[in-house]
Amino acid sequence: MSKETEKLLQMANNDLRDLDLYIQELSAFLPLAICAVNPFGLLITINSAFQDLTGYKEAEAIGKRMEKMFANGKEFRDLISSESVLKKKKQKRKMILLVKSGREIPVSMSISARRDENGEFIGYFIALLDIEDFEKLRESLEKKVKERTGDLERKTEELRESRVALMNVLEDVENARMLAEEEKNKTMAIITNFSDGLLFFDFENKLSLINSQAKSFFNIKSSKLIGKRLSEFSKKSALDPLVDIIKNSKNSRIKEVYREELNLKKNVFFEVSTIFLKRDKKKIGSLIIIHNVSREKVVERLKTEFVSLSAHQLRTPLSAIKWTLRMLLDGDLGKVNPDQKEYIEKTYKSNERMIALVNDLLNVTRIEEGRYLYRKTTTEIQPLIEFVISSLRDKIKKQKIKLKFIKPKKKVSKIKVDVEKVRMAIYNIINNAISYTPHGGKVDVSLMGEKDGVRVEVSDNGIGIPKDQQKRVFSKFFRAGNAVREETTGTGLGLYITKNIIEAHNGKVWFDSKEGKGTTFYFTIPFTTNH
Amino acid sequence: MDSVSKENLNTIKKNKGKIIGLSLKKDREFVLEKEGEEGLNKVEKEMEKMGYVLKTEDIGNYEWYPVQFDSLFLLLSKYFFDWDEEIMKEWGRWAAKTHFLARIMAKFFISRKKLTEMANRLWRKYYTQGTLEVKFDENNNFGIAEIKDFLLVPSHRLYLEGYFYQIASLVISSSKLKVVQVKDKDKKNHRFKITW
Repeated sequence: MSKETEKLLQMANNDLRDLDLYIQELSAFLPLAICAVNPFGLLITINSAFQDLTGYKEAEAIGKRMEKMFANGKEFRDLISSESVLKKKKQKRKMILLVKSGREIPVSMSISARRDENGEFIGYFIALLDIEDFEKLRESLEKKVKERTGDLERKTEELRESRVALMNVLEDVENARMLAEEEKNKTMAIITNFSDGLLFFDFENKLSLINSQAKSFFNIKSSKLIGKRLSEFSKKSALDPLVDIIKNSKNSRIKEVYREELNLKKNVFFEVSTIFLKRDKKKIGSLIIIHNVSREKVVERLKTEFVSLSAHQLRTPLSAIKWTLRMLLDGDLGKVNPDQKEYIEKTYKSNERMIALVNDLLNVTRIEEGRYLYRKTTTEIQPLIEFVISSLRDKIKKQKIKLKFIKPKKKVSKIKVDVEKVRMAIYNIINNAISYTPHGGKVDVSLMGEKDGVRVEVSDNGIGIPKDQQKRVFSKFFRAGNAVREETTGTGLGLYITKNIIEAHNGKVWFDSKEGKGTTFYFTIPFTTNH
Repeated sequence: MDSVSKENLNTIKKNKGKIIGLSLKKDREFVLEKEGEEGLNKVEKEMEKMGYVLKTEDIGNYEWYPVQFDSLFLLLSKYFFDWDEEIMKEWGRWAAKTHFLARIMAKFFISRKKLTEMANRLWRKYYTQGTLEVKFDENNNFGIAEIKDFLLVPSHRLYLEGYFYQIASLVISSSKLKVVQVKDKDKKNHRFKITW
């Protein structure tokens, strides 16, 4: 060998050594596990990273079947036995690498066909990228996403359910609103078309509603008053007469319904009822109902006039009959035999009852015409009571009633009353007590002076008033059932007249009674009376 | 049982061929792996005593060295460590797997036909002396790998038996694969029968 050739060989040898070193360095540095596999699937070359990844040393790995390196080796076998690897430049697959320790590592495998300088297929190059961390991260992310998705799905479902529930609620609310609207419309239609006038003042005393009938009654054409307080109504307002009544109602101590009659003009009468409305014990306003009672008033007046006229017309012949019968009984018109006398006496008593009834009727008509009291004088009440008791002495004696008049220890102040009428009121009460107390019973009459006036109590141990009839005791022509059975001659007007007399003196009359046990009537008359 | 007999030493001395440094280095790695540095030093010292002075670190990968160095190394290792035939064959298989040259050549062994074509080329990567021929009888499932004009001691033959087995396994996928020496008396020509 010439020196020249030897020199060239040495240079080539050096180049080869450098190249080998370079390849070794590169192989040692390269983090990607690379291997070469022959066409039979046997490992023929591996790099350092491959050894690191699999844990197999070179001598252990070389000659090993590549498919045995994977847990999913069948996929590898199927892949290399398919034509696709030969046709495509590079393919990627996710594989599960079985390392020497037996652990399974997810890897991303890149595989491409290997060819020699003539283009002939000589096996495969395979690169394995450890994606365990990626997979863990991916799985963790997927888990989180799944959890979040689950949460979101649950929340979405909850929202959907809430939405459905809300829609149902809204639907219910809408239905309720429609019903309320319908009810409101009905109510408004009723209010608008109501034959009575209606006004509603809210809790701030502002007028919030007035119906057309009320406007018609008071000749109001606009609704300017709506939203205004009572105090803001002008003095010349058409509602002025009504305002006084409303103020009276508010000033009164009545808590539920206050009624007052309003004579707006000639032959036009209204009954004004003020109802204080409450909800859950809280005042929500006042409802004013104006009922036109003009027709009833006219009818009542005509009736009263008729009764008055009839009574007057009846009293004259009854008086004539009375005196004629008296003359017959006294023998002024000739002697009558005992039988005749008995009949005449009965007729006389009946006539007397008729006269009493007519008198009572006349009193009632006077009361209803408002012309009953016209002779007030200042007097003591005790003599009036004593007078009544004295006038009833025969009856008391006849019925063996133990009547006791309990007088006050101190002298009672005088009061200003219509003596005749108050005497009548006392008479009616004591007479009733005697009439409806059995023989031998007792009647106590008490007089008391009070701070504001006088108080009289008449108690008996008589038949009493049935509870279910007590409300009607002061009504015209009313007589309790047990009273009718006991005493057939009453007119049913006495207590009605009594009540009117007492109230005409601004007094008050009431009673306590228990059927079969007795009754106590009370009345008071204040010292100062306006009538 | 192989032994450091005079006959074997003479056979080694007579082999005038050369071997690539890479192969020398790799074979020493096997001893290092098996017996550690102490074992390797033991063999190297014995070789020095016998006049074969070559430190592993001084071996150049692509330098050529007398085959005697390698044959003697194989022989002494077997002797000192009392390795049986299987370890010697394992050594050969290990060499076929790890030698850079074998790895380079492996890409060509994609079929028995290709192996037949490339066998001598593989031999030449390692040795300057001798040739390697491989032939297959596909009908009878056997092949013959024949080394010609190359002096071998028994330990080296066992090594090559393992080596050929590993190379043959690249192109023969069979659990019945076997490579066995054909016991000829000819010291220059050596046949290995491959069956499957």
